[in-house]
Amino acid sequence: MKSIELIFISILVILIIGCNSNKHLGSSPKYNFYTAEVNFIAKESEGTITVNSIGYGKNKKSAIINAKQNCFSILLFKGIPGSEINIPLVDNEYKSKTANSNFYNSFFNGTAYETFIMRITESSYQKNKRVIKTGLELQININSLRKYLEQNNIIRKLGY
Amino acid sequence: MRKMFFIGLLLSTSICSKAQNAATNSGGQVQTVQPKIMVIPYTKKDEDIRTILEKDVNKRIAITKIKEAFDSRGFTTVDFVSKLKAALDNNVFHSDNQTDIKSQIVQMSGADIFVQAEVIFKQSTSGNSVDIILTGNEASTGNSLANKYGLSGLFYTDDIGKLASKAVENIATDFLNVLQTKFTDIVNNGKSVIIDIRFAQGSKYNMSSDKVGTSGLPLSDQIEEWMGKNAFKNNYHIQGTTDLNMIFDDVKIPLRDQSTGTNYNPNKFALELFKFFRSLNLEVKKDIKGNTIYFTIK
Repeated sequence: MKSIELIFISILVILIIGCNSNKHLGSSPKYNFYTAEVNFIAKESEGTITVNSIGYGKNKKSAIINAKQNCFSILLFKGIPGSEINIPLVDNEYKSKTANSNFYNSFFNGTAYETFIMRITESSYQKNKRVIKTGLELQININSLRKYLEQNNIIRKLGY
Repeated sequence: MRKMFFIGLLLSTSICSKAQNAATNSGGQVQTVQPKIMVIPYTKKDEDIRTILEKDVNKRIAITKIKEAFDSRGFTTVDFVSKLKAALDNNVFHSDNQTDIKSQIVQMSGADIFVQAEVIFKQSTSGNSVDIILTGNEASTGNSLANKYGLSGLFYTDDIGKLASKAVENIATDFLNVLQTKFTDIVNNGKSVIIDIRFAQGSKYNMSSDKVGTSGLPLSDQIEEWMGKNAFKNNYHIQGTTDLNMIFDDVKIPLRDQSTGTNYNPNKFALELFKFFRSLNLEVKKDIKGNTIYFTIK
């Protein structure tokens, strides 16, 4: 009888741990997962860059949000070859995300990143069985974005 | 009662003498000392740096555009033109050698980093263009910090200034971004200083002397041991050691005092090394020029 109780309790513990770990994964911000499908198009004026960003989603709205988040993730953490931001704005993605999780949560999950988008044009649209793939041409106010990151102590100002 | 009054007076004066001046007290806030950056024109062997900027408006435009890029990132540079004028007014130049004059200006300005801009004008039947070469170096060590080559593209115009401006625009941000990554590295791993240790004429010591201190080790090894313990993150490089000279061409020191959090500079590091020499009962003379520390053992 005791062994049955023990088995029952251990199953319960495993289930609880399992549920918690799933919850943890589920609660991870979406911006942690991004693709490198962001390409430099042009520098139309001083302090701006225009890029093409691809996003995926179950519907068009989520695909558009994903494309925008993708664009900012690449700008911040990877840099875009061929553009003046070919070095990422943030020096160390892991350290920065760990130290400033609140900032990144509000930046990506809120609407803060939207304030740096000067123009949006849909460049492509594909609908598969389950996933919608959309391409956006985005003009980003880089100077303003850099200043915003500096003011929030995410990146350092030029100098020591 | 009178005794108490005197003790109180003594205590209060001693406290006051140790306290920071009320007018400059920042409440413990420490602002990191920023590097001094100067943008200078590139000069060839036969070109006169004194007149080059006065005569060549395109070089002035290129330099102004580079300074503008620094300004847009909230960084103030040392103005080369005013330094040059001040130097001319004060007759600081004693040599006709151009390289000497350039290094004299860099030295006089106290710049930590100098950015050199070379402007090349190209003419062709398919249009005119300007190429620009930007190089950023540490003044003391000569370490290269950032390098960029920019093109204006071909245009049917004789407005060289506009082309120079376009060439700078194309690379300025990228140049500053590379510079910033080097600054981050300096913040994390310390900045470079050069340490040159020599002996005065007639000194009874040399680098092989093992009668210095109590360890019985040659002096050069004792110095290196000290450097290993005191260089930031144990990061130093010896250029060479002879019996009469020892040069550390790259010793890293932190930007901030690791215990107090206050700004740290080559002078403070030199003082520590000075104390070390004193502990060995050596009489030394120290000189500091920018980021280079000279020690002469008497």
